[in-house]
Amino acid sequence: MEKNQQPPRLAQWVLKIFHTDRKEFTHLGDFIQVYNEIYKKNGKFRAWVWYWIQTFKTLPWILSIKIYWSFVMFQNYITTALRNIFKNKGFSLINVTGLAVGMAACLLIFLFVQDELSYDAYHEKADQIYRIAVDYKLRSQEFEVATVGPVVAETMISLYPEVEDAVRFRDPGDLIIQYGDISFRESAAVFTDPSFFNVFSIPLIAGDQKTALAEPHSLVLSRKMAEKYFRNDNPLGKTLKVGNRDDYKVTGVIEKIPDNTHFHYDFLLSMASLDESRVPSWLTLNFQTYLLLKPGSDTKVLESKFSELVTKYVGGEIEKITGISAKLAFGSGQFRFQFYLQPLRDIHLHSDLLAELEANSDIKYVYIFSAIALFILIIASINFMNLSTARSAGRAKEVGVRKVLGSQRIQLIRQFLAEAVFFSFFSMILALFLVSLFLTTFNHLSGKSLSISSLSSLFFIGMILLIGILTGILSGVYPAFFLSAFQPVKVLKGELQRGVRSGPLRNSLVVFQFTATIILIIGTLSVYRQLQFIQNRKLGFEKEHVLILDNANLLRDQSQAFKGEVLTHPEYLSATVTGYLPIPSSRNATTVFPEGDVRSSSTVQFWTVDYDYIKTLGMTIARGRDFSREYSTDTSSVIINQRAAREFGWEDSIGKKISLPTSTKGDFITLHVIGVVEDFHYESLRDNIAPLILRLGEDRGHISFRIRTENMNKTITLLKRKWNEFLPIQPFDYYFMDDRFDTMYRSERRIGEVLGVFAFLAVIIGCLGLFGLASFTSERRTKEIGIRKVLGASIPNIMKLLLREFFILVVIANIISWPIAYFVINRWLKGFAYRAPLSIWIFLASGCSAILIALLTVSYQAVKSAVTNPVDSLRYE
Amino acid sequence: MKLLSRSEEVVLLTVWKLQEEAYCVPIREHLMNVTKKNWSFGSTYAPLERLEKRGFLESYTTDPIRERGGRSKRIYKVTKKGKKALMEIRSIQDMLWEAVPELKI
Repeated sequence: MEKNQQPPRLAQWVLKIFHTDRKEFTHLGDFIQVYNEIYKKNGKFRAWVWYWIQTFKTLPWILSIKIYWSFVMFQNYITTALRNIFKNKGFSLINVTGLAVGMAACLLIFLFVQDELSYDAYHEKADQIYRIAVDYKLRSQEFEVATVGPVVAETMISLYPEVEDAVRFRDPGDLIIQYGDISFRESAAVFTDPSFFNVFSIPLIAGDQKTALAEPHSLVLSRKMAEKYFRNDNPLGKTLKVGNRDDYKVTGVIEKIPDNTHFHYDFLLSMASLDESRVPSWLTLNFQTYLLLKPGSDTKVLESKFSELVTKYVGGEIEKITGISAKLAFGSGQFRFQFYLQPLRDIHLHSDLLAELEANSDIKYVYIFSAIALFILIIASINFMNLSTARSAGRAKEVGVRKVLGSQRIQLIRQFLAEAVFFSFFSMILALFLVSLFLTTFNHLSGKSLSISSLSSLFFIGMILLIGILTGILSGVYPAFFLSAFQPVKVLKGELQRGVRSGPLRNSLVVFQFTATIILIIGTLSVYRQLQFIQNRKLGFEKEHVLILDNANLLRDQSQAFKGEVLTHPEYLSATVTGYLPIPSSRNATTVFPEGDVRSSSTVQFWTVDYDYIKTLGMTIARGRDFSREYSTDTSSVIINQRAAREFGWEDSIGKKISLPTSTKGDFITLHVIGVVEDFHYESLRDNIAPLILRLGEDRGHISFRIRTENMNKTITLLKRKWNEFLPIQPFDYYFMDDRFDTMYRSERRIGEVLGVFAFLAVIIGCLGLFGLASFTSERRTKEIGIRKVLGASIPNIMKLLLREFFILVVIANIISWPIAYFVINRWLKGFAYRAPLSIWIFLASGCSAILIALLTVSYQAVKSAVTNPVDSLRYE
Repeated sequence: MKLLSRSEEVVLLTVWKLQEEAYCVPIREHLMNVTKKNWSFGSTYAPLERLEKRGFLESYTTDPIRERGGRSKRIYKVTKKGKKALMEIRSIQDMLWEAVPELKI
């Protein structure tokens, strides 16, 4: 007999691998037979070539057959899955609801995170834009600030070749803008350079971007504002009165600045209108300055050139004001001044300096929220895993029969995985529905304006598919291996008892679920506690019952008269006219020299107030006295806070002198300290109290009234009437100090609320799973319970039996979660200068409530099975 | 009933002609001879399987054969339904050809 030749192995393997059905052997036989014939006739090479060619020609057909069969099998999986869903409606409902809620939460958080990460990405040159910030130290005071002096921008353009362009911002605070009879108070206005349109990709929809902001007294406004002031008229060329003073010509219109920008202005005023912008100063830090670098510039190299600049110019300016040489100032270690660059895209999430244009977000929250999303998804997946394996006894017969009929283990695994993925996609559809339903609520909660349309981006669709498949596989893989491992003989004999008792893995999964849930609850409670703490902290002033009148500067020199007239009514206890308030309002940082010593300069907040300031806002004088009309010398007197006294190193501050520079040439006026006010918190409690000096003077930003609250309506109507007597056409705007105070903690409150909602969701999902698990266990133990009852067990006995198991699990979860929660919350609290002490009660309360919720969930089932008459449960035996 | 397609008819006839030797290798050879075209294994298997699924063919496997690397042959047989279909298509063809004037090129 002739020896057989072996055809190419690889080709053979290819054929085999794709062949799934029974004809594989005869087909391979055909191939080999012809191969051998050709081999004999034409030699090995020809035969080899022929075999490969045939393999490739046959592949499409083999593949189509394979696809056909896998489709048939897939149909079978789907059918089985559907049958199972409808057979166990309760379980399916729990599974799908849990997964859908988890996925919806996950998607919402995903949208949120994506939005956070997209800040400022839309600028075409985003990667080339950097903001200059200053790291500043003067004796004990150290801070980093996002503003620099007005000359920095132009100096850097002229000195450094890598700087292509630069743009400055100068935020004037609130401005009254007036057009004919219409006038509004606008807070979203900024002075900026014409290069704004070159650096940022914010296009003009009307006007010429080259000339738009070039002239003094020109401005660009948003489309919304154009409609607000000019209705349907063409805004170009119109004039608006800004700040009750100058007329500005409208030279351009922009669309609304996109939400995902770290600034949102409606009015861009030309920088040329501002005299301050031409002062050659390096130390008046008032201008946010952005540099546009040439592509490929090395920021490290650029930053290294800054120190030379600082020594020359900043040092020079110090020398001019104080007479101290730059060398001495920098060498003493008391003074530090460094420029550094912040990439534009990092500002929103990584920057929290003084003088940010808006309160930024924090990368911390992106991490926290992502972790929560993951947690919730895992909790929901665990439900699926636990319920599937717990129910395994029900599926065991099916597995047995399938195996007997020739199913291989891999096919069964595939079947269960397909089922899980099917489940997860079904839940995903539900989740998308939930997302569209709750998106507005979420927007409200998170302060974003996410839209459902961002769901339709290709990236997001990919994400949805990925989450669907991953969740399916994650939650399906354990049940798949667990179920497919059954031995058919045992299963079909009915010997299988696995899955009835709670396996150690299932227990640890429940523990994990509750650990995550308890951490979330503890986190939520701690955030709320910190908020409470902040709001109830002794602030050093009384924020309640203070009504603040906006636009008070419209009264001009009549403001004191207005105040006097209002105070004739008994509803008004006292009033003070000033723009400087211990809530977000005007601020003025100045350098002063205590005791006239130019060598020991100090940067302080310097506020102009009137006689009734301390009385009206309920502050306390610690030493000395308040301003008084009886002393004519009080116009050159000041009151300092305790922090300032410490800063200056004064034991007894009364009578001490403070010199205030009045020009850059070195002129001073000298002020006497007449009193020390107890420290009050005028910035967010995240920060420590800084030195503050109060001086008498005219500042008409706001009028604050301390009022009686018995008849609020009357009080306010009265004020409004008075206002209209003085200013018939101007808008009457007011707010309460405590409301405005609360907005300082809006981001914390948001975190608290969002955390609360997701903690709640986690609890719900976890409980759903627990409920399913409990109902399953008690169902399986019906007989056992029946027998126990027959033998004399009481209902409480049975309850104890059923509850004990879950009780232990939740207790273990508590033990694990406490240290983790402690660690995480401690990290978060580090961001606050004043923090609520972590109390054990939060932990105990969270732990106990988790135990309570778990037991309540389980006890429904426990009671149900405990009260069952043993006759019913044992009858069929 | 749906009529046989031309290629199905060709394959079916080949199987009928080869009788006991009707497994893939000779079927393919015969087809190549008759049609003067190259048939790959894939394009031979496909109609065979389709015809079997539709009940025109049935198949059985022989004992393993050494020349075929220890694999058996799958021998196809035309079923009654297959024969009927062949006869039907033939009578249709005959009728068609009868009715037309002589074909000349």
